[in-house]
Amino acid sequence: MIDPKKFILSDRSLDINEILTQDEIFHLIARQLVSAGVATDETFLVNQLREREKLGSTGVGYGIALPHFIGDNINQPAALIVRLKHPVPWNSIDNEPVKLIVCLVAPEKERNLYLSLLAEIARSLNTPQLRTAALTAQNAASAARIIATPPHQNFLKRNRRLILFFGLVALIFIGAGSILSHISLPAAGIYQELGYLRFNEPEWILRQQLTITLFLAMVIGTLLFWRFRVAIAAAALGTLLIAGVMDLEHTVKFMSIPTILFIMSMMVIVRWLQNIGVFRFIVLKAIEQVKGIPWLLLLLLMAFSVILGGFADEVSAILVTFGLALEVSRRTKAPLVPFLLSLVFATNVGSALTLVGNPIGVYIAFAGGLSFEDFLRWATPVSAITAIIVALLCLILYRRHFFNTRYHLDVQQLEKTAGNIDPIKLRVGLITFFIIIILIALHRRFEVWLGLSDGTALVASALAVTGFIVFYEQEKGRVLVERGIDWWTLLFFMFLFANAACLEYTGVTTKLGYLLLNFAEKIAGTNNCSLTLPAALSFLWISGILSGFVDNLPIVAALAPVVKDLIRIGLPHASILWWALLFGGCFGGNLTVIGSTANLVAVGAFERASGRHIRFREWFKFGIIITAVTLIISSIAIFCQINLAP
Amino acid sequence: MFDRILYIISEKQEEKEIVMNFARRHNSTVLVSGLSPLDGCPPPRTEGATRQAVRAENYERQCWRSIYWVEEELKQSGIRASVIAHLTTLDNLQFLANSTHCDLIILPVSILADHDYHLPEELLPNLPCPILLINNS
Repeated sequence: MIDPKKFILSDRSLDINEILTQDEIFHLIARQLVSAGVATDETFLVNQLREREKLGSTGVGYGIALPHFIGDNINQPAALIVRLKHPVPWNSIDNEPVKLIVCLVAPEKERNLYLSLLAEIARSLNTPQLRTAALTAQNAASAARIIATPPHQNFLKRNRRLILFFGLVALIFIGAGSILSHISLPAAGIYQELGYLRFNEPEWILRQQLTITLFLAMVIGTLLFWRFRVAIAAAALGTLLIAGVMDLEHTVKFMSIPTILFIMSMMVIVRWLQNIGVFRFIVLKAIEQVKGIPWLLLLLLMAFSVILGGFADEVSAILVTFGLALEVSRRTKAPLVPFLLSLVFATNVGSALTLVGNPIGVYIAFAGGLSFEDFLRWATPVSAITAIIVALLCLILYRRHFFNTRYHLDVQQLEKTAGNIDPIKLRVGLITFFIIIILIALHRRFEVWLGLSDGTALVASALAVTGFIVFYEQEKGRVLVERGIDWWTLLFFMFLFANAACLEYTGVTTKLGYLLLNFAEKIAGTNNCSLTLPAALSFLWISGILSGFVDNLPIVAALAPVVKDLIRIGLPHASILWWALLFGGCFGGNLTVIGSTANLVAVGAFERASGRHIRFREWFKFGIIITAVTLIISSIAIFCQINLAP
Repeated sequence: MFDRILYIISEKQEEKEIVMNFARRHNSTVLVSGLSPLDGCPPPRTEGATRQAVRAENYERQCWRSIYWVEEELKQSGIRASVIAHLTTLDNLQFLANSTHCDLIILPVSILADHDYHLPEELLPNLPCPILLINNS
C-alpha cells in the first residue's frame, strides 16, 4: 500500500486569495513544482497541464480538480495541493467551479506508483467526510495533511452507533426499572375489578422492565440500523420468549395474523392495479382536462394523491402522481421540488382517508374493531378538509411557480411513457378496483348479515380478490405474489405487533394509561368526561411529532393498547383516541424527509431523476408548517366531536 | 450523437477497446467511473478493520487504479476522458446519469455477475439515456 504522505508536498501547498484563471493557476503550480525540484522545465509542465485539460476536464466534481500526468521530464512523483479562495470555472463534470486542486505528476518509469498514488488520493476524496474536511480546512497545508493522512478511525469511532445503541438500551433498562417500581395502580376500583393489580407485583415489574427495554431497543435499533430492522425485531421477540416474559401461544396470537393477511392481500391487489396501469390511466384522463394550467395541474395531482393514498396505499399513490409530475417537469422544465413536497404532503394526509390507506389505519381498525364505515364517519371528513387546506397552503407557499405561467402539455406523449396498456386488462382492473372498494366499504354489513366476527369480511374480501387476480394472471400470478408482496416489511410488522402487544400483556400500557389519566386530571380536574380531551390531544401531538422522526407504526402499535385499556376502564368517549392516533401517525409523517415511506420513495425518485439531494432543512421548513396546520385542524375536529364519540 | 458517454469499468477492462472505438467513432467524451464495493467499506487506511472491510478497501483501491489506468489509455489514444470523483452503485446509476448529463451509459456485462445479471427493476424505464451492455466475449 502506498503512503501518499511521502509524496504530497505539504510544506509547498498553495493558498491563492486572488482571482485567477485556470491558465494562471497552471503557471503557479508549475513554478512551485520546479522550485521543489520535481521538474526543471516550467514551460513543459504548463503545456502538459493544458494539453491534458484539452483531452478531458480534470474537474472530478464537488469543487475538486485532480490534474495529473506522467512525463519523462519529471524527476520524482509528487503531489501539490492548491486551495482557491475564489473558485475557478474548470469545465467539471458537475459544472461546479473548482476550489481545491490536487496536482499529481510522476516520471514515466514510475507509472505503477503513479497509478497507485492516484488511486489513494481518489479514495480519500471519494469519502464524503474527508472530502468535506479537505474542502473546509483552514488552509492548503491542512487540506494536504487531511488528504495525506486521513483521520484514523479507532474502534470507538467505527462502532459509535453500536455503542450508542447499547448505551441507550442500558440507560432505558435502568431508568425503566426505577420508574416502574414507583408506579402502582390503585388497589381499588376498576383496576381491581379487571384484575390489573398483579401488575404491581415485583415479578410483573421485572417483565415490564424487560418489555419496555426491548421495545424501545427495537425502535432505536430500527432508527439507527434501518436495514437490519427485521433482525432487530426478531432478536427482541426471541429475547422476550427466552426470558419467559411471553409464551409462544400469545406470541403467535399477538402477531395479528388478520392484519397481516389483509395488508398482504392489498399489496398484491395494488401492485397488480399499478402494473396494468389503472391508476395512471385514471390520472391521465383527468390531466387532459386541466389544459396545461399549472396550479390546476398541481391541485389535480394532489387530489389524486389524496384519493389514491386513501383507497390504494400511500406508496402506490406517490409513485403514480409523482411519476407523472416527473414527466411533466421533464417536458415543461417545471420546478420539481414544489411538486415533490405538495404531492407527498397530500399523500400522507390522504392516507388517513380510509382504513386501507396506511398500515396504521389497518392496525387501528383491527385493534379497535373499527369498520370502513367508522372510518368514513370519523376519519374521511377530517382528512378531506385537511387535504383541501393543505392544497391551498401549498398553492400559497409555491405561488411563484404555479401562477402567471402555462405548460405546453401533450397528454398523448405522457400516455406513451406508460408503455402499452392492454385495454382488456385495464377494463378488468377498473372493475376489480371498483369491486374491492365496494366489498371493503360494506364489510361490516356483510359481517352482520352473515353473523361473522369483526374484520372477517374485510380479510375475506381482500383474499378473494387476490385469489381472482392470481388466477386471472395465471403464470404471472406467482411472480406477482412473490414480487408484489413486500415480505421483508410484512415480517417486520409481525414481529413489531408481537413486541408491541407484549407491552399490553405485561401491563406496561395499563400503567401508561394510568399515568396519562393522572396527567389529564391535573389539567382538567377530576371530571371523567373532560379527561378524554387532554388525553386525545396528548395522543395526537405525541404520535404526530414522534412519527416525524421514527417509523409511525411502532408508535401507533405501542399506544394502541393504551387506548384499549382506557376504553376498558370506562373513560367516556374514549373511542376518539383511535382517531387522534390515526391523525397523529399519518399527518406527522410530513414533518421530516424520513417521516413516512411515501416521503422516502418520492425523494428517492426525485434524486435519481434530478441528480440532486433534498436537504433535511429544505424539507423541514415546509414540513413543520404543514404538520402544525394539519395537527391543529385535527385538534379542532377532536374538540368539536368528542362528545359524539362512543 | 453521443457527446458524453458514461463508462462504468469492470475489473477485466478488456471491454475498453470497444469503448475506445465507440468513443472515437462518435467523437465523444468518456466519463469514467466504477462500481462501489457493496457495503461496509471503511474510510481509507483505517486501523483494526475487519477482514470484510479490508477486502472492500482493497477492491476499491484496485477499482480506482483501473479507472485511472483506463483514463490514461483513453487520453493517450487522443480520446477526451474525465474521471468522476466517486464510485457508484447500480441503484444510483440514474442519479449519476442525470448529474453528469451523459448521452449513453456503457456497462460491461461482467459487472452484473454479482447481481445475477439483472439490472435494478426500476432503472431502465427511468434512465435519461440509453444503456449499452457490452461483453468482451
